[in-house]
Amino acid sequence: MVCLRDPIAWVNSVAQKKSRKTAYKSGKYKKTRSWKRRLWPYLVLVLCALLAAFAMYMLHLDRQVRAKFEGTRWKLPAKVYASPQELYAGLDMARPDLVKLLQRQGYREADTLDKQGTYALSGSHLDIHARRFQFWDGTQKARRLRLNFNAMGVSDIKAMDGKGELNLLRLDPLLIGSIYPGEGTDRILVKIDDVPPMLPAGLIAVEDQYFLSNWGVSPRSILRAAIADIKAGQFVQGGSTITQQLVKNFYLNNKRTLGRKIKEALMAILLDAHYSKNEILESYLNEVYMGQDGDRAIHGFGLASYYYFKKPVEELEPREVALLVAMVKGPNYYNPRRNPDQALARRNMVLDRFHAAGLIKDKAWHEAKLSNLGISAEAAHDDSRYPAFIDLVRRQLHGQYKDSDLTDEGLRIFTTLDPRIQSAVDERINKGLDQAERAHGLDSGSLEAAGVVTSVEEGNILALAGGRDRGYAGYNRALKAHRQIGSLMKPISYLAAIEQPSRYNPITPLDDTPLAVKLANGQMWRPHNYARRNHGREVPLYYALENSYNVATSRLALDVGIPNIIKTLKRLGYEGDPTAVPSLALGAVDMTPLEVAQVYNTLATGGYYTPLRAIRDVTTRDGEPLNRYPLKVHQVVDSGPAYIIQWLMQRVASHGTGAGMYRYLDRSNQMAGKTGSTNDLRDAWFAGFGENRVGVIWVGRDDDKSTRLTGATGALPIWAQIMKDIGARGIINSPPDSIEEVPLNAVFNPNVSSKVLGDKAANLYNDDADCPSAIDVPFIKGYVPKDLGACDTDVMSQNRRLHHQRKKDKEDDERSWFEKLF
Amino acid sequence: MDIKKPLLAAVSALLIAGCATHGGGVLDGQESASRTDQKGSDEHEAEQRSAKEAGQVTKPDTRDREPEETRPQKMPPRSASEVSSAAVMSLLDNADQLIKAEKMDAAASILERALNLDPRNPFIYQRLAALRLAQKEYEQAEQMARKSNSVAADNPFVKQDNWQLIAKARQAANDGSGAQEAKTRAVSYSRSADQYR
Repeated sequence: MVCLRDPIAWVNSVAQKKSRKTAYKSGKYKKTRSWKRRLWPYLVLVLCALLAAFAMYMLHLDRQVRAKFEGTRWKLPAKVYASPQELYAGLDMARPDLVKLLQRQGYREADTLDKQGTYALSGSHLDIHARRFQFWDGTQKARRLRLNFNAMGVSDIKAMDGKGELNLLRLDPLLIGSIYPGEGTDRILVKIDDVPPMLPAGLIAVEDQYFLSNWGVSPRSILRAAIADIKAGQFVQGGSTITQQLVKNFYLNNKRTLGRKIKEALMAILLDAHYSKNEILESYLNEVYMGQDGDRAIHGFGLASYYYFKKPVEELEPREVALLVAMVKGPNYYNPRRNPDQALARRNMVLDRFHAAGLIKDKAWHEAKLSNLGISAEAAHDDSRYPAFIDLVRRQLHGQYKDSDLTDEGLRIFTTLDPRIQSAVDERINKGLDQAERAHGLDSGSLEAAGVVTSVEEGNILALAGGRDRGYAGYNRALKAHRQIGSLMKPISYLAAIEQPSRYNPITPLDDTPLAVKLANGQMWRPHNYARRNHGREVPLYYALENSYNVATSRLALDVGIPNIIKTLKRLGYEGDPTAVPSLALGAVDMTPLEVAQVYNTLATGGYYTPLRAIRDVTTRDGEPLNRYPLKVHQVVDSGPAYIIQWLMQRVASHGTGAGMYRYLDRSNQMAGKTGSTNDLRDAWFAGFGENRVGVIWVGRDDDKSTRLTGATGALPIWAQIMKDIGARGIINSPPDSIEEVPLNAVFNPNVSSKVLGDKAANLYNDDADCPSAIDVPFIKGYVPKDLGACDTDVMSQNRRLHHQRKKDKEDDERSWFEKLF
Repeated sequence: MDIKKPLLAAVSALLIAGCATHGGGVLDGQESASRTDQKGSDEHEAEQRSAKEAGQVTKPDTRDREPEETRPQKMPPRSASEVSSAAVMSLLDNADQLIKAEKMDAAASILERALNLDPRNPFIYQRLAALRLAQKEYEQAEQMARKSNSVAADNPFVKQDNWQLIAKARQAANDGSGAQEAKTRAVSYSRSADQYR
């Protein structure tokens, strides 16, 4: 191969010879002969050049093959996980609910719990073989355990595998989504040693029988394919080995040209020369295209297993392996969700191949062929069932991570989402809006809604709904719809008042007579009550909030000062900058449902601002911790006023505008909350909480027209049913040291003037002996009004009158004694 | 290595829970001086009594929640094991081991898991407070201790420990007078704890 070693020198020497020869210029024959003779070197030259070019090309391909195979082979979208379910004695979850949860995560019922991801029911207990899982704080081993149940939920947990005591166990969390770029590919990597052996063996049997012995190409099948192609006059048959298919997916585009076929074959040979059969097969398992989910391409058996069966590839049954292998030939044509008949026929054909190859025994083969496709019952878009929440996760990560970190690096993101609560929220919003539209004669589909549920003490966002259409990543109203909050603002205004205990307490009389205020711009502001009625000069404060009186609240707010109210709102966690206008106290401030949830969460914690979070931990794909989002708390309201405002909001729930909740909830379940409605009924809100859950529901229209719904008719029923579904616990009142409770008779009635009540009211005073129907009203210690004693009423003017009267009586008594004596 | 000192302080703060015997006398002199904006509960008590007298009303004793006046009925829990489930205890033990190994973030993560099971357990917040103190996060140490107080109901043992922890956090953050005030409050809870001893 001289020519190859120094082709340029050789060409030069030929050229010199040529110029010498042309100098002779002799006869015709001689001329022809020399012409022919002279052709040879050219031929050799061209050949050599071709060879050289080919070698160069091979070197180029070789570099390409190796670079891709040895570098980061795939861009791995970040994986987003729900919060894991903890199992322990005392968990308040009934067995059927737990079974439902297991099924949602792809656990299946089995007679023996040999495999991970199985469970069995017998008697009153539930046995589970929990999966191994890599959490943010380490890997949890697979465990077998038994749970016993009583009326409250799980009564007992016990290890069944002899691997040591078990007090609690974290189930593997539900995978709720991936963060992939626009029109992206998604995959979950698997190792060849972790997949059922039937999968690689079956792939070989079906796709490339001679895989283990060939050189990456199979001349036999190429020939067969070529004949078929020639007969058909076009490329119809691939004749590709597994190696060629991998090359095709890995390095090349989808054009079917002869040139590309040759390139593919050459690269396959190179790949086979460089790497082991196992390495090639493992790459194939992870690379192969397995279907389309909207704009997301499903790649590899790891993700396909989740996508079609909702479980890890390790747990696939023979019939499931067969279906996935069957789909390789045409993932869209053999899509079991879209074309179940074609998929079933090809799966059974594949099962026959498995049987013929000795991969499956007779009995299992028969059984598998009779079985259905076994595709997960959940909607095809299972992975995008949490679009609003994933949107929130993206937002929280934005700024901390580059987009490419999220779409390429396979990060593991552990969130606070509780799938059970999320599905309750989605379901109740969908049903509630349908119902409201029917009941109020509204166009079907005209209403929209958003909802947030948080966990109070830890500030975890447990569920987030951005609209009524679950599964469609549309406008995320929970984060983006800035709407007037109406009367949801009132508890904040009242809190600002209660924080001045020398001036305001729960029974401070508020003036609800008509009000007109001249604003800075010269306009008159005349707030009025929802029912356009006024309720006199001495509405007890708690009563005004219970019934959401606007006029009384306006006076209170003007007295407390709008800037003070804004300060309180900000302390509670609102980050906006509202304009200081009097109507702010009645809710003239735009907030998103998530912002409302933050403010109400602070009220629910008893005055501890706890930043809401959707993410708990982020790790690398190998489980190395990258970022924690630890619990942070900050006391922003003193315990006394925080207790009183909760008490006031409990009154709203039990006796006020929120009382409708007890059509759905048990009366013993003490909740606190507030309704909100805005001008022309554009927005209907309810925000409230029990001991361990805050819920915020907004109902409105995207075109900002009237919903004809109030907070109580539009949002409250949805809220109450969610709280019921998720088993939200009632508030347990435990007054802090700074609170003194005084039992008082609640007699105020705006329809009966206190003068009319007259002597009847006096009868209610029982000389402190006994007042069984009195309510414990909380006051800040040291600020109980002077004229107030146990068993007094909630109307201060009456109390004063009565105390005055008693004092006089006592003096009279004493005088009469005195007079008797002397 | 410089983590060790605060760590020891934090652990000892936790240990003190078991053997709190405070000579209140030493601090008595500072008690009135250090009272600032936080109105002492005794003052409230006095005002309230006068209010009652003015109204010629006396409230039944059982309604008073001031620790000093509470009759010792039931011993409040002094350690986590008295109120925590087996599941929570196994997490707390786990966290304690991690704290000993100075794996603070991991321990915090475990404690948050425990909170997830039992979100109103004052002992869990107290451990988080001690942990933040060990990490020199004084502000969060105080806040967590306050949070622990807020869910501790009438438990003087827990509150005493929390105020001691707050005193340490303030001292470390160079807030001397604040530390004194916290110590004073710890002493007052120590006194109300005495009724159970």
